[in-house]
Amino acid sequence: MNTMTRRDFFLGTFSKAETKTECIVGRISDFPIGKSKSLTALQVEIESLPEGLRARSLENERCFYSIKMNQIGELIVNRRELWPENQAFSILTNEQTSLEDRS
Amino acid sequence: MSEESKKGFSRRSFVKGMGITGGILGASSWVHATPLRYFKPTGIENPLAFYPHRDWESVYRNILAHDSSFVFLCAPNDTHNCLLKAYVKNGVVQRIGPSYGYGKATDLYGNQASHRWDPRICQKGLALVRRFYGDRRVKAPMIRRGFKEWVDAGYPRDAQTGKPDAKYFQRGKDKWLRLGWEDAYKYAAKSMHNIAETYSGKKGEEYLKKQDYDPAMIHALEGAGVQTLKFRGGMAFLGATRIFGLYRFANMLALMDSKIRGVGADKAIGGRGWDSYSWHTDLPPGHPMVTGQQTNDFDLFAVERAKLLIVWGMNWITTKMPDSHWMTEARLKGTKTVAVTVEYSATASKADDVLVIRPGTDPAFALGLCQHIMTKNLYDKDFVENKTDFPFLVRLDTLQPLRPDEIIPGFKEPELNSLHFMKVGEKPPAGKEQKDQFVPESMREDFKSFVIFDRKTKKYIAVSRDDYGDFAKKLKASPELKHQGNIKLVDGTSVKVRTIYSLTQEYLNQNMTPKQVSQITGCPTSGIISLAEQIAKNKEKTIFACGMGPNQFFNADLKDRAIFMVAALTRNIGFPGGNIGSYAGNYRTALIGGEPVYAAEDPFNLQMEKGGKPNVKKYTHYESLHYFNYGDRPLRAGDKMFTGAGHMPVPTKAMWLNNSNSVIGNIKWHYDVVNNTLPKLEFIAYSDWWWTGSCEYADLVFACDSWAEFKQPDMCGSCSNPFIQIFPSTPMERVFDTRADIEIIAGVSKALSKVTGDTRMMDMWKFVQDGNTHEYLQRIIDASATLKGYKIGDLEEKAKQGIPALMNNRTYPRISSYEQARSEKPWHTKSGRLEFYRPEVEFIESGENMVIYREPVDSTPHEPNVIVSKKHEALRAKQPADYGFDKKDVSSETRQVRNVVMTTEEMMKSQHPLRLKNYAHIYHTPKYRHGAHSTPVDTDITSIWFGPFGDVYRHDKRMPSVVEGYVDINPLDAKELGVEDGDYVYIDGDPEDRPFRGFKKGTEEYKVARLMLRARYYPGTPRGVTRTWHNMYGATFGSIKGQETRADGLAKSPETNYQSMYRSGSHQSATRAWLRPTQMTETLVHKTMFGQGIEKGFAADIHCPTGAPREAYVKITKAENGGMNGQGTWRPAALGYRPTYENKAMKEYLKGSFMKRKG
Repeated sequence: MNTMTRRDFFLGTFSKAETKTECIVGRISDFPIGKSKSLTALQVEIESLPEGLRARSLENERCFYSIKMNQIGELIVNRRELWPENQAFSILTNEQTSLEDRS
Repeated sequence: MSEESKKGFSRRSFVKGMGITGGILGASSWVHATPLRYFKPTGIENPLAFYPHRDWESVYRNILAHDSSFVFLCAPNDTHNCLLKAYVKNGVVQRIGPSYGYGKATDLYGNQASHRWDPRICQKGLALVRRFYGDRRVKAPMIRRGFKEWVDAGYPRDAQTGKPDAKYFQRGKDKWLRLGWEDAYKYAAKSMHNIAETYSGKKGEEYLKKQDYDPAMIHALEGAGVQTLKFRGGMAFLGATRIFGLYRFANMLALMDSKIRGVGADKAIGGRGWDSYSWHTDLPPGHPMVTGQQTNDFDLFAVERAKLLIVWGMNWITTKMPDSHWMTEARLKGTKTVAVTVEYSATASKADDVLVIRPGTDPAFALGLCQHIMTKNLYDKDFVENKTDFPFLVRLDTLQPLRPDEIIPGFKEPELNSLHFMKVGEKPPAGKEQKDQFVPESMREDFKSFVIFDRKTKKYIAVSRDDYGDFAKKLKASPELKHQGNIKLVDGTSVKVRTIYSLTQEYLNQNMTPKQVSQITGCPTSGIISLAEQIAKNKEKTIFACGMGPNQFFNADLKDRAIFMVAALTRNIGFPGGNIGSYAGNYRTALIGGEPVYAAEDPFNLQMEKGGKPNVKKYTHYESLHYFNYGDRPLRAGDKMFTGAGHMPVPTKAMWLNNSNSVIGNIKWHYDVVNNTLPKLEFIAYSDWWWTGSCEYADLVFACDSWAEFKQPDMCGSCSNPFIQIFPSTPMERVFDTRADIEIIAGVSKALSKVTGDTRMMDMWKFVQDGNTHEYLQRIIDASATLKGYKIGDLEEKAKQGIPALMNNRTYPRISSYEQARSEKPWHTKSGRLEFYRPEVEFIESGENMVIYREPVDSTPHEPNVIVSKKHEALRAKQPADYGFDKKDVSSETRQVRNVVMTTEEMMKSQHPLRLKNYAHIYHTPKYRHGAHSTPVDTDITSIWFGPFGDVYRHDKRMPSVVEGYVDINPLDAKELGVEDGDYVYIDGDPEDRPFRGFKKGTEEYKVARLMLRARYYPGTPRGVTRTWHNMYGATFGSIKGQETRADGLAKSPETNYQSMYRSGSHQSATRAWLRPTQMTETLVHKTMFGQGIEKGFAADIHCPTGAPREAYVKITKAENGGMNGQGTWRPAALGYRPTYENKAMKEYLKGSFMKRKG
């Protein structure tokens, strides 16, 4: 089921000013599996793992930000919302998912 | 906007202003100085002449304004296909509308379609935006973790059986991992190669024996493990290159077989292809039995040429969305409309007469019409004598047709003009150049002449296949239709002979009088007689538009044969206003007859030149999916194998499907397949753009482009309209990490090239890799009689403007049997005529050499599948004892071949074996307008219209989704069961094998599989008949886990986002697989799929099993109250707005008391 309301959908079709904490970082296809991509302007590195995507701070490698997807398939990193290291963004559920043991 | 309002006025300042002025509202001087000045009434005398302050409209105009637009083709398997316009704003598709280009469509001769085809769109297309961007899109290639571990471990197998450890195959419960595209191709290629290699040769045969496959299936494998790989492009007519691509891939695998087994091109075999049209139970299986043709039909808009339209088992208004208007407009133009239906359907509400019959009794109903027409001599003598086999004589000793050489000494069969016999090694002309019918020399015996009795000369006369239609008149004979007598054969013996007409009439007079048929069907005798007489009065002007409904019963072929008999008796086949059509699924690939140059291009001899002529060689064997559905088994009952050798399936070890959710997600007997059949498979791949129930149980899912994202064009057509339609490439950027279906197939082929070292597999898709799929499309066009002359570039450019093209058919609308009705060509049958007697051994043993009536195989309160007949000398069905089982054995398996005969009276007194166990309802599952097939069904804003249970807020948190499945039940039946409107109920099918063989109560598997859904009071369904719409997504392990663990309680898999629309089970919990002996013959003669060839025995989508997914006899038990969260009665019922709960106001409303008519 798509949880988007009709109103949300229409609002989503207008470009919105990005807040400082939430940044659109691209689409899934911009992050090929098994590779990491540094977004230096945002000081974020996106890791594309088999379980999903993870946003790591370039300033603090133990710091991971939340990721969500908007209604049109764009990925948004929120630098005020921290996720534990063992969490990633699942591209199947668009929600947090646990990573396999990577130790 | 006024100056005042331009100053800006916030909600906050408005409220503030209200506070200040609250106490002095009466002071008019304040009114203009405060927000209330906006309440000043404005007097408008004529708003069309003058209307102030229209600037507010720009808000809405801005919302709906677009920056650009593009056209794409929406083509699910609902038989229509619409070029739609997508409106884009800020790079996002904002809304979708019709293209309005259909009236501009032309053919190569300049003929133009009518603008009445526009606008062309349905509610499913309108809502597609929610799907392009939906959260269930397959966003990248995904692999199941356990499967990946098996591959990474090097495919470990048990040394004895060859089976992998079950720990790797926890389908439906496992985790999923993303793969890169190249890795996804590699995993698929390596796995297919490993499986083909494992099951090839003697070693493979040993493994399969130890895995308990039927020896006949292992024999059919011919040692070629590649055949254990099965492929299906779902309803491939919907994609000439990308969907048919999987069949091209299967053909290509002959290269792999060549490597694995070390054989040359002469012995190499490809992967197996699965059927589509027959798999969906869309094929009307009796059509080839009467006409030789796959299906007889016509473009739906032919209907306005009829004076009488009989919509039979077809919910036209509901399921033909953009084409429903042809029916209502025909009625406006004076066509009388009659609905033959099992309920008061939407179509019934548009009909002049409605005849409601018991589900599955259609053959009896049609035979009742025939009986009256024959008895009252209302039939068309000319048509019956010259275009049917009715005058032919049958020997009563053998039940075979009497042949001239049996009675005329020295008789020699004439050389036929109507048929060319192909010598061994002779090749037929290319498809588009085939004008004459042809057949292998080896089948010459099938086309021997028949004998009629001339009532004028009292002589027996030989009638050859050339003597069809008007050509029969050169015989100057008057066939005696009712002849019977003894005749001396050339060998001196004497045998009794009777005409087919005489045999048939006796059967009808004994068993199918209107009174008897009324008993069987529940339709009043007067209704049967009235309809029969109306049809007889409208020769060449009665159209029979038949739908999927009766196709989905076990006796479907008898239904077709009987309806054809009505139409043949009344001269209503092949005429613009008098014909039979069947409308279920989109199947008529024959309209693009050049398809084999693509799907069966010889991989050993590829045409790599642009514009070059491809070489065609078929290495792929096809089989019916129904055997897979049946547990990957053929039909063995007692001591007999009923599946013909040509139909024989081979073991299924791997499958790859695209454009298809019907083989796992929405498969008949779904939970049996999940629990008993899928564990036998080692690799399941799906290509899809939406995460379906099939993806839930796959090992590898390829992420495909949606229709709006196509980067390579494709082509399709329809069985119900005259257009050739192009999927144009579009400017829309891919939303996710997806690829075109055909690019995925090319990618796997390239990976296979690396695995096998054979670069021809990569070359097979050269033009895809070059970004020039147009080359393949042009080759198909050039080889198609209906399309040659078109250029794909031109067609695509037109499509981008929303304009399709017309196929260059002989007639507009297209009319099947048109040439035969005009006596220009014979039908593709043994006799060249319409055949109502089947002398083949399988039909005689089944008691179906004549067109008879059988009860449904499960959907009946009476003993299932019995033949209804008094003693008849031509009815010699084999009995249970002949096959080695007890007559009392009515289990599902033996029931299929149990030819027990009862009179009408005996049958009516008999009982379904489950009636003693509180089973009391027929349960059928037709398709619905909001989800003809499962493509659009769970788009939320579409699905909420499925019935009264849609609720976007899910106030009742038990709801699995924003909508949920329900069963329609007659209120009186429900009340007897203690079920209130809106309650949750359980529906249980035959516990012998449903929801799946070997189920155990209390297990997780049973919890997932047992059907629970809402009950809806529906007075439109007769008592004893219940219905659930066939479409909705069923419960899975993941959806159950979602309900139990998610905070919102949605039946949505926490692992995959798969969304069920049932709390547990699905409409397929009560159905099962059925195999019918007369659909598995080696002997039925019929037309080939493409061209004018004639062949016999198995042919995918023409002569093979069709199943019976509308057959279930169930027990209904209350599960929970329907009121909010299980408390009390469901609110609409409690408020008095539902049937049998009407409050005073509702009663007044229903009486029409809220309106008064003057005068």
